[in-house]
Amino acid sequence: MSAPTPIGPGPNNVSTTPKGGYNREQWESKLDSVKVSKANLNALVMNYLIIEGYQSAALKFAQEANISSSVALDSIDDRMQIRASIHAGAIQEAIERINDLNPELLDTNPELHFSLLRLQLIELIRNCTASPDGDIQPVLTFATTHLASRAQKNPAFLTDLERTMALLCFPQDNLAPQLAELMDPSLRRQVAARVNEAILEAQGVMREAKMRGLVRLWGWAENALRQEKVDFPSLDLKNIA
Amino acid sequence: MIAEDDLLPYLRSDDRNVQLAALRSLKNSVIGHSDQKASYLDRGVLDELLEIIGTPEDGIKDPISEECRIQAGVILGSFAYSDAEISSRLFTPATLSTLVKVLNQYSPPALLVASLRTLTTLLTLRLTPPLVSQFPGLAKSLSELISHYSPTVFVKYARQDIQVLTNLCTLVPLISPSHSSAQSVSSELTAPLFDLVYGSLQSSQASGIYIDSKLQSAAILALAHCLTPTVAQEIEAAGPGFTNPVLALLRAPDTATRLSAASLLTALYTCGKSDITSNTGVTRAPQITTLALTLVPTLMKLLDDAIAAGHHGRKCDPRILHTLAILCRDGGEVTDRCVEAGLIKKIVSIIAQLAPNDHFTSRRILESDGKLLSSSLLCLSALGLYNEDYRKEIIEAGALSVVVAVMNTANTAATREVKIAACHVLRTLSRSVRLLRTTMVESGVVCGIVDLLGDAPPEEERPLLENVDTVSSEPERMDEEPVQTTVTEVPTDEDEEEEDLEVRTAAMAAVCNLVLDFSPLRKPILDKGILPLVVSGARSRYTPLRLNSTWALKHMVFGDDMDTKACVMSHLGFPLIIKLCDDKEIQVQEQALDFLRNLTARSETYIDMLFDNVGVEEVFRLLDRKLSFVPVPPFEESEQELLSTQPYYTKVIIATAYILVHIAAGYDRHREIVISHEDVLRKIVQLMRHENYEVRLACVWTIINLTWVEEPNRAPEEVASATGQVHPNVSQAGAAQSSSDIMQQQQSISAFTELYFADIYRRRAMVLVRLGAREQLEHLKQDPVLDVREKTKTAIYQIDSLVGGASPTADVEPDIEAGLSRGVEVPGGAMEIDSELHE
Repeated sequence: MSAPTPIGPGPNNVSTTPKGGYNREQWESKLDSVKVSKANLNALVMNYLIIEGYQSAALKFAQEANISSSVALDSIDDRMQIRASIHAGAIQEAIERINDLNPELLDTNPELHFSLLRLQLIELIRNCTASPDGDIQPVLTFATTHLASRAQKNPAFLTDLERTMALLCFPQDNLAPQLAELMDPSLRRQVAARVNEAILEAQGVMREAKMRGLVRLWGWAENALRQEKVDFPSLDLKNIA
Repeated sequence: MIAEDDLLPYLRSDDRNVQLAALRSLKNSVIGHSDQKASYLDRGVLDELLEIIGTPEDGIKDPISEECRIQAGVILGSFAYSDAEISSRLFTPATLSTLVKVLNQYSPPALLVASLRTLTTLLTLRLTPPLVSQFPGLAKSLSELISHYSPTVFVKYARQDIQVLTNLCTLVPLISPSHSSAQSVSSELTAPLFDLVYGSLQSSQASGIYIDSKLQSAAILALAHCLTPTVAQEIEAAGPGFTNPVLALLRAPDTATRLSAASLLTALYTCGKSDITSNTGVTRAPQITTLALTLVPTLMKLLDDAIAAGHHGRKCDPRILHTLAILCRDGGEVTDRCVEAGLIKKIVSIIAQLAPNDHFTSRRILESDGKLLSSSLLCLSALGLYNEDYRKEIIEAGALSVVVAVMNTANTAATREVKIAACHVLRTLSRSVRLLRTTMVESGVVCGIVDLLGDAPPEEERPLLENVDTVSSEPERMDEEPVQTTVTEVPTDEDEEEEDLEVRTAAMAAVCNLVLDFSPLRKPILDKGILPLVVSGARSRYTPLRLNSTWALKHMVFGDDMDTKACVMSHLGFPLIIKLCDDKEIQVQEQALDFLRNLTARSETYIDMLFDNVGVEEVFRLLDRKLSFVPVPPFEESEQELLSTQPYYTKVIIATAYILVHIAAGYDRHREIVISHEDVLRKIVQLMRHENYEVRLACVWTIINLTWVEEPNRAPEEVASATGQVHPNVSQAGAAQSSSDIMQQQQSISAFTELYFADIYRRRAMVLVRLGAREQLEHLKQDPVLDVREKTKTAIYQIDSLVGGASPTADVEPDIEAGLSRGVEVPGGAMEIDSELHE
């Protein structure tokens, strides 16, 4: 039995570094000597599941690992429904769900509200241009009532609004790349992700799963070791998955 | 789905389902749409919403009407999150009382969350009179709610419970923004808040990864806000189990948590431990200073990040600067580190971001950014409090023009806090004699201050000395208020809000140093008619104002300007000042006694006036009372901790002793009066063993003045009375005789006079020897303080030459010059003022 190795490079560690670095076996045994408590690992996993929105997995995991802190589990479902609505282009529905879940979100986050409204405008344009005799009136009404006044106050909004309205002028199958972006479903996903982050932040949850931060920290540490010219088997994300 | 345009009639529907549908539609049409909000408010939607929210629960729980109340609460909240024009329309008594009424444990949690959010938003947007003073039961309601929701929150982690608690905690500092109001809610709220914070610390330690950072930081900030010294000591006594996890939070990933931890530790730092205040700052136990030093990097990093974010239009959190202000207001190493890190320049840059070119003319800045601006100014004032170099740096960074701009804006409830902070900066800067004589003169601060103190008094010129006589003709009226002379428009605090009193208190603190005799601003301020305002402040029932006003009066009679002294006395009158000498607040007593000390310095006129108005015996009863303030332990006992724990009591003794010194420096008949009060003199002799050297020094000065031999300043009538005893008819006789006769006679009279006085002097010295003064002086020859030793030599020399016993000790060639100075060289109280920095 060896004494528990301190985490991080202390004077003892330096002296035990083998010449030329570590081979895989030495490295693994070094890693194994660091004890991470089961509770911490469980909390790490739970944190990932909650933030990334895997509700059923989180619930199951909480039961199996006997974790009581079923934090904000009830909001996962709401967030996933909102995400689904945005992905499906049902923006009005998404907005109403947001207002139910967190009524202050759109009041306090005008940029987010604007991108949702613009997404809604894009959906209206999509409907209108889908058929040759589509009615342009709803598009114009929506743009005037909800977006024009905001664009007046904020130059960035104005640029976005102008570009969106340009969609009406060009045939949908032959758009300039800048405009094509707007019609691409990836814009919905972007907005949905921002909504998700904003809700999480408002709930006092870190926007990002702890695990992602740890992976970055690992990368930083590997760089630091390489600069010290220590040889070691680097972490391959494929091996983890 | 109801059409958006005509929702209002449906809100009034008797059918709850219709009402609910209308409310939902209304909610979705107003959230994020300010034009809609304005239009609905124009059509009177506020009353409808308040009525729905206020609908009492009628026994049976009806989920639909409950949901209606929730939705109405949410909509109201959305109106609060608007531009200032819209949200300000919500500031009605009806809104506030409806929202406060909701705050009980029977309200549905969702309605609680919505109402709490609305209150929080409204109170953040605008500084109003503390809600606790409008709704006295509010602190208790919040306390009950916190206790109601806390126990299960770290077990179940129900989102709604977390939200309720987070909003409750956020509300605590907002309902009690001022220092005094925070202290007033403390007894109700500290216990439940401490339990909540403790619970959250334990849960975050247990789970390791997840904590609800918002709840935790809000709870910690709330606890820090209403922390009192008693609670701080309890927490300290509880050991590292509580403080270590809070220290760990200084490295938390989110800024709010780091700030809250720094804020709580700062509160613990300043509340904990008794301290020694000196001219260089407050000295605390070394480990506490070390704790404070660890907070500096955390707070400076938070501030740097906030300034960087400020370039992108995000406002700095005022609590960062507020915390730094509390941390720095005691001077010392913590302040030095902050200044080294460039705090002064950073603060000025934050102010510049708010209002480029000191453009405060628009009230909007003072209202919407009032909190940030006042925290910035408070922090500046704290930094310069004990350090001349930092004051210079503050001036050089251009802060004075900001202060003047703030002082000269209109007085409104919303600008109050900023103005208080501006007064604190002025007070700090006025501690610098150099700045007082240069930069401050041209700054134009006078009008702003006088305006803050109250309505401008009548213009009418008052003759100075005539009024003195009016006052002095009322010697009997000891316990009554002094005669109110011609002043009319002086504010009284009968019906005044505590907040107005706080403004006046802060302005008075700024006035204190500006009215010192070497200040060029003294005359302009007095010409503005400030005296009636200061006197009315000294009569206030609000202790901080009474303290600062008495302090200002003390500084006004500091120095040799007899006109000012006369003017002060014409407004003040002795009854009030004697009453203040027995104030229930020890610091006020100190100032009032210092006032008498300054008044009687080098001024026989005022010694006489004091005796005439108050009565000799009454004066000496007062002196006797004050000198015996703390029982002096018998000489044998070296243990004098009792005295060291009570610095203010010592200051009272010093002030009192110097009144005696000054009386003894008057005419010979004044000395005669002093020597005839042996009880008081016996106290003086005892106090020569006091552990504070200033007390000892004052006692020695008393002896020196009482044994002064040279014809120092004999009043003509005293000589007359002495010669009168020689030759009752000298004046008439002299007229008829030849000049040589007169010469001869006068010589013999003078010789006799000297003999007569020599006898009196000897008798005085004998009294002092009999009371044990000579013996005590012998001890003081070994005093650790040089000044005491020197004055002791003089005193011994004078006594010994009078009593004729032991000849003056060989090594003493007494410092006659010191004797000549008649003991009045020590000015009145320090020119620095120590009153609490009101937050």
